[in-house]
Amino acid sequence: MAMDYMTDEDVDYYGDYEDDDMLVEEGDATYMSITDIFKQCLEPTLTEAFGQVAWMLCACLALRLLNHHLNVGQRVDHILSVCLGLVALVSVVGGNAIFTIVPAVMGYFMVSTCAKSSGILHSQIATIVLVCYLVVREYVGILPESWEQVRGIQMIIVMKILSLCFDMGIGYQTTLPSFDQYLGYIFCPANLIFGPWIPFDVYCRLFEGQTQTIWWVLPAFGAAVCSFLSLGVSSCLLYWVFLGTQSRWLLTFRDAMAVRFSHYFISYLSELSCLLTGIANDSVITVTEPWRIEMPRSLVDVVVCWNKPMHRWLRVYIFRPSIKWGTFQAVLWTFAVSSMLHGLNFGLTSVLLSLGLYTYVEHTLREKLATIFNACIRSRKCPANCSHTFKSDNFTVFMINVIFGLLAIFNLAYLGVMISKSHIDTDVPPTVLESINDDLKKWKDLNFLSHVVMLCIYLASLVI
Amino acid sequence: MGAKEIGYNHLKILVLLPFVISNLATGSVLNEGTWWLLGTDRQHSTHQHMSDMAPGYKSPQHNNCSAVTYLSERQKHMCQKSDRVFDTISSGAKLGIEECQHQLQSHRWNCSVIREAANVFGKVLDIHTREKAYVHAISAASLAYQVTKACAKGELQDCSCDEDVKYGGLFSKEFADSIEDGTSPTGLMNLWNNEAGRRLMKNSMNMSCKCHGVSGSCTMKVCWRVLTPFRSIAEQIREKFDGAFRVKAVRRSVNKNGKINKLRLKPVLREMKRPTKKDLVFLDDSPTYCEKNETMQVLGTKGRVCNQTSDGPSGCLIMCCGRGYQTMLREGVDSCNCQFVWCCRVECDKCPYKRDEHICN
Repeated sequence: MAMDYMTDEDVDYYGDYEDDDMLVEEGDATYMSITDIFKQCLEPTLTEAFGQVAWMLCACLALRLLNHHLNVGQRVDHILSVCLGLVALVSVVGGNAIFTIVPAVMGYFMVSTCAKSSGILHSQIATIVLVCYLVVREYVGILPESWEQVRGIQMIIVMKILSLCFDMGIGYQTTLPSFDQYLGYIFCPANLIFGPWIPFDVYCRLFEGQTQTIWWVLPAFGAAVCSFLSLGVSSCLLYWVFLGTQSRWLLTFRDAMAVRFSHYFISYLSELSCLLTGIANDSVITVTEPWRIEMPRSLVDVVVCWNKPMHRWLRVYIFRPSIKWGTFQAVLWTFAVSSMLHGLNFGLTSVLLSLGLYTYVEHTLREKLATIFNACIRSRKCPANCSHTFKSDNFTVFMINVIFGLLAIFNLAYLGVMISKSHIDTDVPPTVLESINDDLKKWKDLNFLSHVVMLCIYLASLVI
Repeated sequence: MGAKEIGYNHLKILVLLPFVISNLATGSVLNEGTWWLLGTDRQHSTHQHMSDMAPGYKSPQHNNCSAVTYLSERQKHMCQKSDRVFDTISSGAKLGIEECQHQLQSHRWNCSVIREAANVFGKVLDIHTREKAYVHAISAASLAYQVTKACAKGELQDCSCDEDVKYGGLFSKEFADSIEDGTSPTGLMNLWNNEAGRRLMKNSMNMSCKCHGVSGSCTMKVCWRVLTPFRSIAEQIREKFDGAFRVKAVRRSVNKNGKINKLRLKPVLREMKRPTKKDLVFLDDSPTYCEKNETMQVLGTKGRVCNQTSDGPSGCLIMCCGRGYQTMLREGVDSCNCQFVWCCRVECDKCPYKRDEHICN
């Protein structure tokens, strides 16, 4: 019988270091001192993040400078935009860029079919086709890691294609954009990678020779500071603040806050890229308002302020065209499109569904209370000339709004923890069922408390 | 002894005399030794000597490396690569020795450093025991750890920040493994144990990663390294030490490819489990370490402090090898009831104590 040997002589005795490389999402930082956190966490995190986006920001700046100082035709401008966008894309995602190029190019055929017909039927069909494509890609085909990296980019591209389709169907955009215009719009370095979505006409205005003073650097600098500050909070400072915490709810709050600050980091980064390129339209590029989310008036406010361009896109291109089917159906369709844009993965879908239900419950309850007590306690802030007796300078009104705000904070913590990733296991990626199980466990550990609370509030609102 | 032997002895003395004189004149220049000596105090004597030679002369680092005579050529070459390498290697050796003594403090052989020994721990390492396996593993791991730490801080020029663990492992492998002979049984054992130490170290270093992107996607992944304290790594190695595998070296006459094959390490018993790359292996059984032995440079357990209540190796039954113990009364003054006084000092009371201390016979 063959004797086993300790070492296989075909394998190098001095094995390589690639095996058993477990990546842990949140390091166990209970034994680190404060200076350790600063040196070991903040510095490498900020420098590495900056290194990853440096090329993208340079591409944006290059587009601005070349646009202003070179007087070439529009065609060259668009080609420049495409090239710089591709440079930025490859610098951030590397080889996975290939997955974005093919659908973006094919989208042009969809846009041309929408141009040939009037009305929005073709646009609706295009919507269904594209979101189904996104869902299919999420579950079939390429490695989940590669898709994870480009999912956000695909989402922005799909939004741009669909907005173009609808604009032409409505009649807002009269002529079919040429192929280079279209490509320049899709691959514009300002918002290819992190967003925000901008409409086609805003993109075209970029090349129409607007004059800008040198003071554009100030808001850009502000956006840069805000973004890297949020990154520092999300990655490091939160862990320092909650060092050694064992309470489950405090950990939930910490994780959800990390998710929110990661979102602010990306949002301000996208604002920065737009400002560097020259798109300075405030109403278009203000992506998020953190103070209205951290100290919320209501969940409705949070949903609106979370990603304003995307909220506008959903309202204009998904909600309004489908209102003819009925309000409830339109809401359902909007929610379906939103979750399919995100790839219909379990975590995000359940969060969006819960958010939809919670906003509905909150809205109805607060409307009822506002009419009963004749006070300004509705979900959204009352306009200055509202007809309520008790306005926002009343102390009781203020306190009631604070209580609703605390409820919103509680719900946000509960929902946010679903989005935070617990670990990244490179050995064997979990199957779909396993990841659903893992995600459900997060809420199971919290005893579905938030859902229970909101259910009670709903029942109470029925009684009132 | 016959006249011939006496004559030979005289001849030997005459031949060796110049070397002895030169050794005495230049201080304790060590020609024999291992790189572990860099972690002991004896290294400083050569340093002292260099600065005595020319006061005010700041010797560049490569002088430090080349002044260390017991390093191999390859080790010296690696040492001279950059300024901080010498300090990193010394701190690695020192950390290894300190952790070894801490982890084995309740064992009969407690990793004690012998002053005159060339290989730091004495001739006891000439027997290839579990203890030797542990010493090799922990020294390889501590060297890799210190190199990784220096690399993460940016003190070494050759490495990049995200490849620090890999660099530390490769450096330790090149440095510690280059002096071992892969064709002899003891060399194989040392190489194996070095690798085990490095793998256990590498296993403990965690990467903490966070994803950033639009709506929770992973467009950007930002990672940072969490440096676990070396004590936990040393504990893991000690757990492997407790379960170390006894092996023997075999050479098959001809292998399946028809090539002359190398020496291999195999478990001594057929039904024994195969050790993995993370396990420690040893060739010889350990001596009892109970009695003082001059030839093996074993200090024995006489005079060691033992724990009367423990049943483990630090208990008085095992530690004193059945010889029994004496109970001494130790008196002293301790600091107690320490309180923080504003601002900014700590004030403690003095509490006298009387404790029993058990010393092995």
